Amino acid sequence: MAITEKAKRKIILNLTGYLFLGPLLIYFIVFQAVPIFMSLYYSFTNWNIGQSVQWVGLKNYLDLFFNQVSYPYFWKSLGVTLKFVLLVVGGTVVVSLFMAMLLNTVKRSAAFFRVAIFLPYVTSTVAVAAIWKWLYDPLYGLVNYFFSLIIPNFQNVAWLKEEKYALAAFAIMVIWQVSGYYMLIFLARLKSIPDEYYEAAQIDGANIWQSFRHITLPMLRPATFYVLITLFIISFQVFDIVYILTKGLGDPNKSTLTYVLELFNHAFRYNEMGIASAMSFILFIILAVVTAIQFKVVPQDV
Amino acid sequence: MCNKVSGFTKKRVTRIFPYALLIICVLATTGPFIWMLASSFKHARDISTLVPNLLPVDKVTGKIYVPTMENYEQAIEYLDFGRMFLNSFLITSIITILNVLFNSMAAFAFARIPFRGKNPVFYVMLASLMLPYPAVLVPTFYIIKVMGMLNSYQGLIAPNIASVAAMFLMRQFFRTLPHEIDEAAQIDGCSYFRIYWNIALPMSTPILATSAIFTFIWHWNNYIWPLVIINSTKFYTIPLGLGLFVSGPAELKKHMMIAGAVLAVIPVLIVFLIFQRYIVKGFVTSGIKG
Repeated sequence: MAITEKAKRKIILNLTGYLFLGPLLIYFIVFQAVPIFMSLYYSFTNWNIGQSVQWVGLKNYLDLFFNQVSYPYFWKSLGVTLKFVLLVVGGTVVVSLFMAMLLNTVKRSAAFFRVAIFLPYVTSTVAVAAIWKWLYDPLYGLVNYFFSLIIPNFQNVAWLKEEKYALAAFAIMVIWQVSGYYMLIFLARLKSIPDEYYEAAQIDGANIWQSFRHITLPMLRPATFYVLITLFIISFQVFDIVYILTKGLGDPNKSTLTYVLELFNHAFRYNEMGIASAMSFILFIILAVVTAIQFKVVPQDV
Repeated sequence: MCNKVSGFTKKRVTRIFPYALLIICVLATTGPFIWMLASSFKHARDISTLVPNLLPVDKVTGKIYVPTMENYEQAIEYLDFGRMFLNSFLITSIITILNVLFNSMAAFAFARIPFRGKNPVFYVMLASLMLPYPAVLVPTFYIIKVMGMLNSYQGLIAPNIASVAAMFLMRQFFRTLPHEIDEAAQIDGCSYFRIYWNIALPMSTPILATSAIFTFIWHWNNYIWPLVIINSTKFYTIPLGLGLFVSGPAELKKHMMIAGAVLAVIPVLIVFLIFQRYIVKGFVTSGIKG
């Protein structure tokens, strides 16, 4: 059978293409595609490791939503997570934008400031937990010490042990860790705003606040949107730091029991893989919706 | 005259003001590290003081002494830090090398080779970018268990050998390379290998370096995956080990936790400071694209 030169070339091209793509494609199928379908499938079963799997239909989902006796912490963990997301997103946007605007005004030592502010971002969460555990120490921590300097008769607070403060204390750790990264994103965008805009505004008699409100903020919009969505997604998945500092319990009184922590506990503490799979899939849906909003609103350059 | 002076000082104040605020920011971000470092050189009994002091001062005599390494010695001995360091280094290095290789190969295929099914595969992969990691954690654990790789180096490495997000960034870069270079390849499919190895890779060293550094730091710091599949200290990585000091059986050994945290941060700090140019640039370009 005669194969034309053209057909032969096509075959070679296809082979070459898949040869290059191969390793990533295998990784993708085994560790991304298959797992998400497994999550979906097992969420309809009463799967526990070491036992036979039985189809239970929507039971896991219904139990999570309505059975407050067996699963008392599903809604609680969603609420905790949303509160945490609000604190982290709000705090990080304000802090990182503020630092970016400061950095945008200076020339000398700008590189030093950038690196120094970025530093916490490359630090492992476990090290962050260790550092802040020491800073939050009820008796000897620097945090209490600073408050005692500012506030007369300040009573030391066990920041991670009191229901009122624990979640906010965690949010502060995360804000401290990630702000440097978002600062860089804002900074890149600020640098792209032409100076002429501000000069023109100044000639028209605009004050600093008006320039910020009418030039900086609108020009920052794409970056701000990216930052908001990314922060939402990463803070919704918070796990490491809460797991380490509360031994996975989400204490005090479950006030720091985040969604992924609860998911992890069902999977690896209570051996309820079916329930954990349902929670995995719900998480997937929530974050897929948020990401879809991003793809819809921000023009993608693919 | 008076006006002139106040105008002058006002200008100076507005110029210095941002610096003052920035220094406060820098103190907030680096201060905790300095505080850890300073505390790590004190004797265990001198670490907890009611009034903070960066210098090692003896609680009883009130005298300053030469910084001690005993916390480091104890932490290293207690945890077998050397072993954990080797584990972390080995695993992270292999993951990084495989990632750069596999991601760049796939990126090259998507950017330069016209093969059948390219677009559908690409868009499916793109969609997977919205997969949250915890959503695939349980099944990935099960897959690794079925493969018999719980408690092993292979298990730590296998699910991390490539990354769609990093591939996507590299593809964006490969697309900007001049098109003349693969016209030669149109004649003979095999020379794609030569183009990839001899032209595309050397031309994209900055993006490869950035990607490698990201990957290294990310996996060096990874906590949840080793936590899930490792239970023998033989395979412990640095974050798992440090976790023992923060909330594990060694929780009350504060002096070791502090020294351990410093030890855990130092390798990443070195990588970061050497390559900070790549990192700061890379993070920004990768961020804005998203």
